Amino acid sequence: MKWDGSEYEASLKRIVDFGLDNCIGSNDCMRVCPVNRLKVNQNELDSVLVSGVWTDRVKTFVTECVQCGDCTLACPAGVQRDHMMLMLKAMLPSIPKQWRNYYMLKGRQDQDLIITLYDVVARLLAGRLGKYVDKAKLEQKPLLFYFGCYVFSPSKAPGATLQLADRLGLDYEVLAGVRSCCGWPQYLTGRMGYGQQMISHLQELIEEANPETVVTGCAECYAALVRLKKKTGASWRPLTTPEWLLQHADTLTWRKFDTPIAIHDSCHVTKKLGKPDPARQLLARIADVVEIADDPNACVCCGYYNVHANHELNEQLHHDKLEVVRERGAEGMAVECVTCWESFKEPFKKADVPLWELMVAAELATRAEVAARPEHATRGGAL
Amino acid sequence: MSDTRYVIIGNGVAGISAAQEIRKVDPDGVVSIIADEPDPYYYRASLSEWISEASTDEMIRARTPAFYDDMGFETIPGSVTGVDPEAKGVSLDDERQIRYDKLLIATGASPNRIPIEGLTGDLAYRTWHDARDIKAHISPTSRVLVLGGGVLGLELAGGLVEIGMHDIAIVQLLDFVGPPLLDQPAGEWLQQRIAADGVTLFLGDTVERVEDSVAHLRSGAEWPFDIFVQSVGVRARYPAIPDLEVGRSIRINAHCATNLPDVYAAGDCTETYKPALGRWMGTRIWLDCARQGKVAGCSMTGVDASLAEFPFFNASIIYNLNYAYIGDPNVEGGEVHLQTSETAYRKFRVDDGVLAGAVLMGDRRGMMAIHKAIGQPVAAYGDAIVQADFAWNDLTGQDWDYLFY
Repeated sequence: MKWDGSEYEASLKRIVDFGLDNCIGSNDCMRVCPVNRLKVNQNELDSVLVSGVWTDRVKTFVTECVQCGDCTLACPAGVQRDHMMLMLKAMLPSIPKQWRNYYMLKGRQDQDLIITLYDVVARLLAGRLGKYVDKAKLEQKPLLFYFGCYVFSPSKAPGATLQLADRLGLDYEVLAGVRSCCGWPQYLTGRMGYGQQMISHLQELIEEANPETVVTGCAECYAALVRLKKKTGASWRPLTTPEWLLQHADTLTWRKFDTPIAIHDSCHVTKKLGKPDPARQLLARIADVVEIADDPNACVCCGYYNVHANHELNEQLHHDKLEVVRERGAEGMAVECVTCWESFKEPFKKADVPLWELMVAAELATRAEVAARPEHATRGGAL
Repeated sequence: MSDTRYVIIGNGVAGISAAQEIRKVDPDGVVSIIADEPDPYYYRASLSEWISEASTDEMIRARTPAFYDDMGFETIPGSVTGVDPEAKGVSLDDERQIRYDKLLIATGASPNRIPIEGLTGDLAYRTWHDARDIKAHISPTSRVLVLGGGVLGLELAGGLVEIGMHDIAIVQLLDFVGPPLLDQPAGEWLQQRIAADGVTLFLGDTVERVEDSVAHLRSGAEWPFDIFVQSVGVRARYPAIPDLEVGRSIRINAHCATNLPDVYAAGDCTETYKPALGRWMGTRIWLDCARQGKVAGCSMTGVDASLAEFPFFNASIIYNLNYAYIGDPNVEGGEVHLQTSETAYRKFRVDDGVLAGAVLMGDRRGMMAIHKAIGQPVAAYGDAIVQADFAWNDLTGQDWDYLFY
């Protein structure tokens, strides 16, 4: 079944209507919000949703919302406040400047020439991954690694993932580059139409590769894959990189790090899709796992770079995260999502606390010839 | 350009929902809202959080002060003393006359008060004004008697416990708390939690008389109190209108119209006919009030709209727990699938192989998808449906809880 994503926009309107009708004013959504530095109340949001008349406070808050979903999980009345925030993003009278840096070329079909030129340079800079950047023709393989725009991630997670796959002797194809964007950056910046285009284009690309399994290390991409499968009834199976590697874990030789490492839960995989276990199980093969929240859903947010909107706010979130990592006696932190890694990169580097993307850590822990070197973590390990 | 004059009596959820809907269709019509409560549209369900100071004044307001101007709503403070449907006019207590083309009565309900020998200075728990009264009288060491163990009384008691008060008694006429949302087993489960918090429960009992701030109960028990709150249900309140069809409340049809031309009603002051039950039922749930307000607003502008028949849904707080009441969980018959723990109560009723209803307390995972699954065949899953991680989204084919995923 073909899905163009437009159904989502109609559903969003229904969710907003239900939210406006059923909110009981507990304000719990706003209390738990990690980015609500202005102490915005839900009535301010609902007033704008109904009247369309903006205030500066609401504009700023909507710009800074990172869609972590804490609000929805906290609601006593079943209101999906995160979706209501998404509607507000779509309603913003103009796209904030800082968002433009974030989405840039991702999935921009109207920027074909620029993307073509960009890809020429990107292929050269991406080393061995260069051949996969916006590949003209995808080969049909049972295993498809979907890196999308994170193929350029400084976490070096894509390279580590492929090294692991090579070590396992697997045959695979790779879907990568800004043309295969999952659509999430567009939704996050309030551009529903572009988001729809992207999800629809992603579907075509995956169909071209005709895989049995699609593996990604980005939580947003994974969420998009789960949704795409659900809406289209596709036969392929979406997996996170930890889920995928766990399937082969027994065929690898693991060398555990001698330092305990904390686990950070991502919004999409743990909170929204309810899968806290695979990342923990994988990390347990790499190091002693340190829990930093009594409940995975209570994990402090990565801030998602705050979509470049407010660095001070992110610094506070990262400060809180570093505090809790230290308090619990961990000597580093692992993340299951490259976006989380990129968000935490600078503060962890500055604090000299190792930050591990799980594939990078796993690649290092399964090397036969080299002892584990946690001090390399924050630079992203070696390709 | 419309010069229609819409007059709405009531500044609560039904009235504002109607006004918002009118504005969507008719940007130019005059929308006047007559409000007898001095407070703006606020969330009743959060008053206990306001009393406990978990929420501020700003937080329990449902819309900002600027909202009314932004929407072009005129608010008229005052109480309605009469409506003349022939002359299409509303009279206010200050003798003003307001003309209308379309009128909505959304005046809500008032708390019942039971006359008790010797009782004076008792408080109600319904409006923000009532909550102010309670807040002004309580101190951490106050002894409180809540008469009535329904949802509202439990919510108040739960809110007081949250702020560290323990000398609280709930006196309930029935043998269990929480009706009509809870049946006896569910009520008894909740009672254990309430008792564990140190709240005293007098069940199957009532207050017969009061003497020197001591309540004497029918059972012979006594409870000295500083504050006596009555929470014994509500009754519809509405202005006297000649020829208006009423039962216990104003009777409305599926378009929220009354029997009088151009007079509509919505919210707690109404009742609707339920063919399945063969009787008129009062409106009591926030969500239903909002939906009625929207249908009334549409109907007032001439847009065809009617109340959709959808399974009952209510999600909020009972005592101090999140709960959801979905469909018809407490009707006799069918099979009951139940899972209880110290912190959660999940009851499902399956009738003729299809999901008929659910009551969830403490752990409401899946509630939105469960609402969508009412009427779906579930017999094949047996007791598995009580599990909090049962894949309701897969069963319904809708990812409603997280539609995005």
